Amino acid sequence: MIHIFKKGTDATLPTLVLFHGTGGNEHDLIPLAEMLSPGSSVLGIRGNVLENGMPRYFRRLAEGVFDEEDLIFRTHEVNQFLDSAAAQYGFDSSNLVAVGYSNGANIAGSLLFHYGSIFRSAVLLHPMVPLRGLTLPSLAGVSVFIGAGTNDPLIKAEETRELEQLLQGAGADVTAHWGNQGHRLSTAEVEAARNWLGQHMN
Amino acid sequence: MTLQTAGIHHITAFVKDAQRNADFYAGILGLRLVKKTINFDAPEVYHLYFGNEQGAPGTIITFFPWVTGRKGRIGGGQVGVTTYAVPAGSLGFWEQRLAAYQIPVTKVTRISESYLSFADYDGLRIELVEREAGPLSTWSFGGVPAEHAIKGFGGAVLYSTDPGKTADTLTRTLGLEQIAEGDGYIRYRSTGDLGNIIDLKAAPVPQGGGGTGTVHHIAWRAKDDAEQLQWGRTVQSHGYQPTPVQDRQYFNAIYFREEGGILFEIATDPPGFARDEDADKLGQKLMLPAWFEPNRAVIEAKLSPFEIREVEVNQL
Repeated sequence: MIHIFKKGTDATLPTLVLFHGTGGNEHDLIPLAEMLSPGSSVLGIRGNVLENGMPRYFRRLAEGVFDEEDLIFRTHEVNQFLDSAAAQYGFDSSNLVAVGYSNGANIAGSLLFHYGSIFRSAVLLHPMVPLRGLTLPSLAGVSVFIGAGTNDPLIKAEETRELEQLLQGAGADVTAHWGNQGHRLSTAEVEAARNWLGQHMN
Repeated sequence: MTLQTAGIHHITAFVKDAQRNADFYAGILGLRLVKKTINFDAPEVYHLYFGNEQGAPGTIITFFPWVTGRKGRIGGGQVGVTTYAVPAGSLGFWEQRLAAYQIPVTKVTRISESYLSFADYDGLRIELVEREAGPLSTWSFGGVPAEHAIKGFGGAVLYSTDPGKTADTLTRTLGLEQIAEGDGYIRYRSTGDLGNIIDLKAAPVPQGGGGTGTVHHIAWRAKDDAEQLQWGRTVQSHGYQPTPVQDRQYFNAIYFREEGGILFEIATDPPGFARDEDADKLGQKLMLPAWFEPNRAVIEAKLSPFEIREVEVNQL
């Protein structure tokens, strides 16, 4: 997969794995990563699917309607890529934090749904429920931050709460932060995520 | 100057199978297939548009037939029922026709109107009601004479997880007027003569699940691109964050999810379906946007063929 790896200054810190929103690329969330955990190594991954020329991680047929077959295929593809990237760059794959926005948060969520503790922590910004009707693996020991908007134009509050409950039901420790900036990433959200991550990195 | 939408532009739903879909909406309901194109994000899936002869706003229902799609569950945050208007004195004709096709029909009364209520092959809820407003159909197919043919949408029944909030959006944002209440529904009217009567179920409906056999979104009419920009600002001033304008080839669209969970679109009346086909040949050929044209052969090979045909009563 097209990606960028930036080695951090502190090898004891987790490596941040970045998943952009629709139309973004592997560089998009690097400034965010530097705010969340300065000193961490960073792996930015570009989605392998194009929607009208815009990179995404998996196909959808309409707003909120995912191509589940493709989503599952792409989830496995990212998982394999993470294994090969860990070998190539020598980062500790048992100490990863996912940071995803929108479509990127959905693929990160799907990775948790399929592979349990693949990430120690995940910062999911404006995620949806990636898949329904799945029996989740144990997420004991995994902490998840969800950034949501009370007035998000595309994601119902019920859906955010459903995701929260699914993750908690599988044993994850979930914190939700509600902002009012729609689907946008807000400063307050980033602040909250940074404070949260600071408390969950030891 | 407060903006008021004329009413429904189109309704879009997910179904399983293109041939069954065409048989129901063209073969049985007698609508015209006004455009055969693809889902631009999943080109192996058709996007089919059925409407009146021109595919006028207020008459268009659109489908994604998706064989591998998950079955949805009708519920809150969706259009629960799609209402079609037939001319006065036509319900008897339709009752007989639906019976001949062995489609189970329930007669219901709501806010002093009689409805024939039934479901399509995928479970989407449809109802027919006699309405005086709106021009008669000029399209006749499959044994539906023009004088009894569906004119277009009467309107829709909305299932909201938060009816108070949805009511607020219908009146304060979209400019609909509340005109009646009864039988557990609140009735709103828009300024157009088709797709203009919206019934909101007054009690909250538990969240549905999207998928085949459910409506994905309902689109409201904007006169043109300029008015759509105004709509965008209006929607924003009511606390929503609409998406940027998206080019849907036959109209431009913005989307926002209202607080009762229903995905609303605001779609422009122009350019319409004659933009890439002659008005007398609508729906006959697979139409592709320019960027797909080089791959036409590959795309056509992946689509399962279907035809617009008369459905024999005894062939069911």
